[in-house]
Amino acid sequence: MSDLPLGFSGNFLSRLELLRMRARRSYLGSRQGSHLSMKRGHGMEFSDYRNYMPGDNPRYIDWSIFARSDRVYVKQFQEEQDLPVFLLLDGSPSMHYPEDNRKWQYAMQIAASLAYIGLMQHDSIRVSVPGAFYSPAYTGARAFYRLIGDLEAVAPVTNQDLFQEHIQRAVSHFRFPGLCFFLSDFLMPVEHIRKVLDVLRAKNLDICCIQILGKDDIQPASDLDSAELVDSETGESFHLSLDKNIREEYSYYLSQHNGELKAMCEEYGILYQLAYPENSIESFVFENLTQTGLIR
Amino acid sequence: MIDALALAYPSALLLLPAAIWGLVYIYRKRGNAIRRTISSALFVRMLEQRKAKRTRFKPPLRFLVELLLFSLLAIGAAGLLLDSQKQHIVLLVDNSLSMATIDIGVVPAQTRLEKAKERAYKALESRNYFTEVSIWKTSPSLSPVHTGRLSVSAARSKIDELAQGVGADRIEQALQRVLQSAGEGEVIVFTDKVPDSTSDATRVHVETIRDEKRAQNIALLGVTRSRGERAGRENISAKVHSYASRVAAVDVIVSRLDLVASKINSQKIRQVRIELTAGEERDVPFENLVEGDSYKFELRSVDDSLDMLREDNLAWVVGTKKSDVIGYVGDADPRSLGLTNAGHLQIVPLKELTEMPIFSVFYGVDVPDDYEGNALGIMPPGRELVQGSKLSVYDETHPLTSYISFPALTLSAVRPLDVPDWAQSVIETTAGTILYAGTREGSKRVIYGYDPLPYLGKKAPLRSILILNTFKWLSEKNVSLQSSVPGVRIRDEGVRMSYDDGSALSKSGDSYVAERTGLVHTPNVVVDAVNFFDPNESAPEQGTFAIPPTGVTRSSEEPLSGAPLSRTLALIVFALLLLDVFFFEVRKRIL
Repeated sequence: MSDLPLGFSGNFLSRLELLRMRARRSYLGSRQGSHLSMKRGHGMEFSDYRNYMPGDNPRYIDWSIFARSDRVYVKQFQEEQDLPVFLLLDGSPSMHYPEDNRKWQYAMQIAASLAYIGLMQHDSIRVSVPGAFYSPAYTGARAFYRLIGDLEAVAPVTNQDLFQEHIQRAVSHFRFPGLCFFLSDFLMPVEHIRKVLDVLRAKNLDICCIQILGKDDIQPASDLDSAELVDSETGESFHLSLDKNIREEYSYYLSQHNGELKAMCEEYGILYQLAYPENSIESFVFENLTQTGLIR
Repeated sequence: MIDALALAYPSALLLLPAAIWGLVYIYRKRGNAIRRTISSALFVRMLEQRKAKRTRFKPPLRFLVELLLFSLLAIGAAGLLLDSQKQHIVLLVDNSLSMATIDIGVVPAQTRLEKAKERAYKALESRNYFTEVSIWKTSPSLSPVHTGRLSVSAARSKIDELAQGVGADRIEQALQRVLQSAGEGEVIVFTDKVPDSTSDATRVHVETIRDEKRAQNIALLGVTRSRGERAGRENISAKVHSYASRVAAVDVIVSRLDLVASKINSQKIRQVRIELTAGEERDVPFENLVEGDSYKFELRSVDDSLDMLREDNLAWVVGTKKSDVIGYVGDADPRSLGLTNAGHLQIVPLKELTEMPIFSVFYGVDVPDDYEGNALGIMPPGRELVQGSKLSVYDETHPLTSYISFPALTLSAVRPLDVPDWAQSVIETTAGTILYAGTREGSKRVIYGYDPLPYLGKKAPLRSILILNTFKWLSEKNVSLQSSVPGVRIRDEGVRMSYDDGSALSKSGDSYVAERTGLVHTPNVVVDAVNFFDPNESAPEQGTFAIPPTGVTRSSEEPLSGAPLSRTLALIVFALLLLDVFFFEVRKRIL
């Protein structure tokens, strides 16, 4: 038990093995897998008919249609291929600090859980921390530990000015479109988020945004009446008397921001899920994540 | 208690309100807040406007500690001192002619007076605001340079205005007078002399201004003549002193001079090699020399390893035979003018001359146009006297100004001269030319627009060298007319000793002391001049005197102790700083 990474338990991993990822549409895979692909060929799931052409295997001729209409058609099936899964983790300092908020650890746990599910069903997993780490495609269950090791070695990304460029570079590594989980606190201007999501949408990905908010994001310096709050990304400091009114106003701004984010996701057909590191990873995966329908 | 306190720089207290304002501003800006890092200030930035609505500033303990710290710093900067710490100092600046000397090897080249001024500025720098300063100068006469007492800044400008004088210093008498007028104040003396003693050693500090470079020099201190055992013979003893720091060997060479008309024939007759240890003084006797002849004594380093200063190791013994005649015209007595100081010269009134003089002196009268011989004119009648003119230009290439480097002199009384066509202006002042020279129809003439005679002071090298150069140029000889050096001690032979002009020498212990320049005669001993050498300038220990002054503290000592109150404040501030940094920072980290 103690050898398992990220505090995972054997029971948790066993339960993850029972889950399957389901994209909302078919994608072209690169290898044989368990997902119905856009590729027509030999599979179990009937897809369509087409005219017989010389060279077609006579085994797929629909003889009943030939008997009824005297025309030769062959049956087409959807091939079952692997699903390209992209795990995009925001590695900015806001995900790392304050450390006791455990946002980065929680993001790694979610990413590792999703990767484990995918690897178990022979999907191709790519992990990117824009600006810090761009992984190759992980396949097979044995790649799980390698993936965890790579993730744990990632340091906070310091240059946030180039976040959009980093996202573009990460997306350029995605050879085929597929399922994309974007894990971030999304504590950035909405317009900024929109630009980032536009980049992802342009790749025709089935996107799921998972927003991870720590306790200080929800209520900063909850134990203090006043504090000098320092932005982890810019170093800018703000002296605030954190009275009730201020806190209420802060909560208002946060909920407004999250509302706009949610609305944007709905507008773009992007799935959205909110995660709190205070909650257990088990409850998030088996209760919240399954609600998205991408995990069943 | 409060009445007994004062501030040296009260204007520094103006910093306090500014410091308090700054401190409050920082605290208001910072608040009492604890620093906390958050993920993003996206929403916090929107709350910035709320800051104006913050509650009234409540100073925390740390603020009070820091306020106290700033207050103490401001008071410390203002120079808190007790009334008893107020000071009065008297600066006695020697601006006599010797202070115009530029010491050998001093870089940058500065006169002693300029160095004295710098030292005086430094002495003032360490004084507090309440220090009252009096400044005295020694030349032309001992006097304060201002009335009342000055502030430190005013004293600086007064020192700056201090000009070079041409008189003697008489530093001991000056110091006694200044001590009497200084009350309880401290006296700092800037001089190139060493006062022999003072009545109040704790109040007097002597800043010695002189070349600290020590020369490895051997000097000829004096030459003593005495009658020989045989008739027509005499014994001459050369007193040689080593100012080197090691054993040094020199040759003492005696040459006989034949002063025939305007030519000098020199013939080496004796040579003795001696070895002197550091500081050793020795008489080197030469016996049975022809009485009445002129001799040249010279020291030469054996291995050229010594810094032999030519002025210090060359002496002339002038023969007693009256060989040269100088004509004289004027109302003043030639004796009072120092013209008779050389025994071999005959000063003869012009109308009584029976032979052609080597030159004639026209003192206070014009040189007649029809006079055919060489002539020296001093203060010819004509234009009005001008007071306080400053030396502006001089021709340093002219033979009359050889070996001379004039400082910025101010001359008390000059009579500007009209330079004729045949003459060349040698020295000019702001009032006009005061010395010109030239050759007119084969005769040399030198005309002075100021009085270089009589030969005043213990040591007035500038004027004396100028006069010697003049005599030399006019007579075309380089001997004669040297003078005895002051301070030379002459052993008491049991007979009365006097100068050539008849005045007596004073006696100290078992020796006579020549207090002024001039030839000294005794019935059987004559002390002849050597040079202008001052033995203190080649003292065996660098920067110290051969004879340490008694009752005078050395200049290397700290003139005044610091302000104890400021030190106490500094300690308190340091303790508060430690408290502020460590206690609060540690407390914050613990909490």
